Amino acid sequence: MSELVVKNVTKRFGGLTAVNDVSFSVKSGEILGLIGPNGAGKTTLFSCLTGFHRPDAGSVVFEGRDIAGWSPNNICSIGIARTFQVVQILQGMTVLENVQVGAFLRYPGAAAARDKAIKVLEKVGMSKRAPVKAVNLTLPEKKRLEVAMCLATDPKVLMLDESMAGLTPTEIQEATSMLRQLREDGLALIVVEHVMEAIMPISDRIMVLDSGAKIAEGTPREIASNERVISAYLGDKYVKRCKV
Amino acid sequence: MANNKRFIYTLLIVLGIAIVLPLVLKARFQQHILVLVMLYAVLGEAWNIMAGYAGMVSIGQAAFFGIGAYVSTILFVKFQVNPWIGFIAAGLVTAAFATVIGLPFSRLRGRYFAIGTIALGQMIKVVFENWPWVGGATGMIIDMKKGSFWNFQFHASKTGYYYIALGMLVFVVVYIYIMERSKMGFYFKAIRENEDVATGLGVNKTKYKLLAIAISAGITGMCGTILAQYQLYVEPAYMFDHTISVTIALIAVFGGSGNIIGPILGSVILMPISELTRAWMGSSGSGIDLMIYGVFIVLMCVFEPDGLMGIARKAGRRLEARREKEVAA
Ligand SMILES: Nc1ncnc2c1ncn2[C@@H]1O[C@H](COP(=O)(O)OP(=O)(O)OP(=O)(O)O)[C@@H](O)[C@H]1O
Ligand SMILES: [Mg+2]
Repeated sequence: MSELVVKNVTKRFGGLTAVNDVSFSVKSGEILGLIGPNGAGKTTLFSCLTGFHRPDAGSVVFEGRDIAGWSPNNICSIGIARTFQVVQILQGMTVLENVQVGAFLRYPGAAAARDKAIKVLEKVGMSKRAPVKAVNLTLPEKKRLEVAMCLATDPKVLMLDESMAGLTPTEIQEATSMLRQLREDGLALIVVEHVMEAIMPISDRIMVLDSGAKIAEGTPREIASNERVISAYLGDKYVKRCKV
Repeated sequence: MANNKRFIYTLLIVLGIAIVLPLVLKARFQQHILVLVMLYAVLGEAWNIMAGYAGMVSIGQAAFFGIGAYVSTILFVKFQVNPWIGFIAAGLVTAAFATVIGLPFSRLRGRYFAIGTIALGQMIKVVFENWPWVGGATGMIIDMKKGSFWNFQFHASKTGYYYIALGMLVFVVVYIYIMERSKMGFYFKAIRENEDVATGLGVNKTKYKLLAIAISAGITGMCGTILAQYQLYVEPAYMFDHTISVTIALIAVFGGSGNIIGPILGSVILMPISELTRAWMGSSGSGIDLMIYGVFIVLMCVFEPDGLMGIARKAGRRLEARREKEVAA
């Protein structure tokens, strides 16, 4: 049982405050949905939690240690992994090799890493694509591969940045059932997604960012009827009209 | 698996040929070419570890090469240390030097790294030119001893150097073969493909970059000792010659980097061409060999960026496809 506790994290780019004093927590066996309009700071928040950006203020505590400012590889080593919004894979290597790179973190031996990678590919339903060069995959496949690479590092916390973008409704069904399975396995998941049909049913809680700040947090039902959220997405006028 | 076996058998056959070759090619000039082919095959493989696998393109290998040559020569000339110990020391000192210098270098990406290595090669040369203790620009002469394996000197026939380089090549090829299949090899390639992905998956990129640089430099430094013993003198203009750096990179790229065979193929084809053109054109033709290289490389870059090995792989695939068609028919 582990918990990631984020307190007052702030990240500025020059004059722009991309993440403004954000606090939240997520624990094993839980899916936290993270939504917000474009430019809200979702991706930047991920980068602050995984070492790709150093937060200007705040703490990120995981299993008793403040990991704010740690390097990405050390953060991955203690069990926190993320995917990228713009898909990032090892293009020139095969699907299996991509996953093997992740597996080597916990399984230094070549044979063990290979076994682990094969297992992970089975889990995400990509076994058939194992020998294909990653560059030749379709975009949804690449996104799925990226999830597999993360899973190969045996994370306790997994952050997915729009991994379901561009999927067909049936593929979204598959993806969400996989996320539910991961939650059963005891992972803590933070899922950024614009597709509401995908994120609403699977999230235990949802957090909403707007212009860097957290404007709401609650169950999907609470969020769907939250005025501030509706106005952030659709503008104040829409809220007023709803009220009438 | 069957493929692996075939690969190893092929390598063994090539090794057999390499062992008997000096018994057939006995003329002094032929043996000179053989030594260079072998030496540059090793140098190309060393470059391959750092550039082909880990993605750090160096055009300054002469810095490591020259340092290695000087380490064993200084030990021998100043302290009467046996060149074999100097050979090992050359590897260790060069690797240590590369680790220290690699720390700032490993932060440079892509072409900035390459440019940095060019500057490094030139800088080290100037340092040695202005260092009186090691003979400044004139360098040092290695006293002639009785030709023997123990003395690391061979006079009547140059094949001794050839076999030492061949031994090194076997060692390096076996090392790369194992590395390719291990965590280190995967991590090197991951860094080459995408540093962010690699670090995101737990790869300590600084550590693995430094490892690649140190291993590559160490092997290159040991090759420096072989050339120093072969020429029996060291001199900055010769040991730190920028041409060495360029030739190493060209050979590997021409043959195909990022795989075991490429650099060997590159050396086997390009070194004789360069030495023969230099011989035909006389000393006045210095530079012609490099021009011919240039033409080769441009053609290669335009038509097959994966080098000769890329061509071979494509041909293999086409053959296989044809065979499958015949079987189907
Ligand atoms: N490296 C950077 N340098 C400067 N500004 C940045 C950088 N990264 C992000 N920003 C800015 O920070 C703000 C938050 O961006 P971020 O990508 O985190 O938003 P997001 O919520 O992920 O948006 P989207 O839904 O479009 O992915 C934006 O205004 C963006 O332009
Ligand atoms: Mg984003």
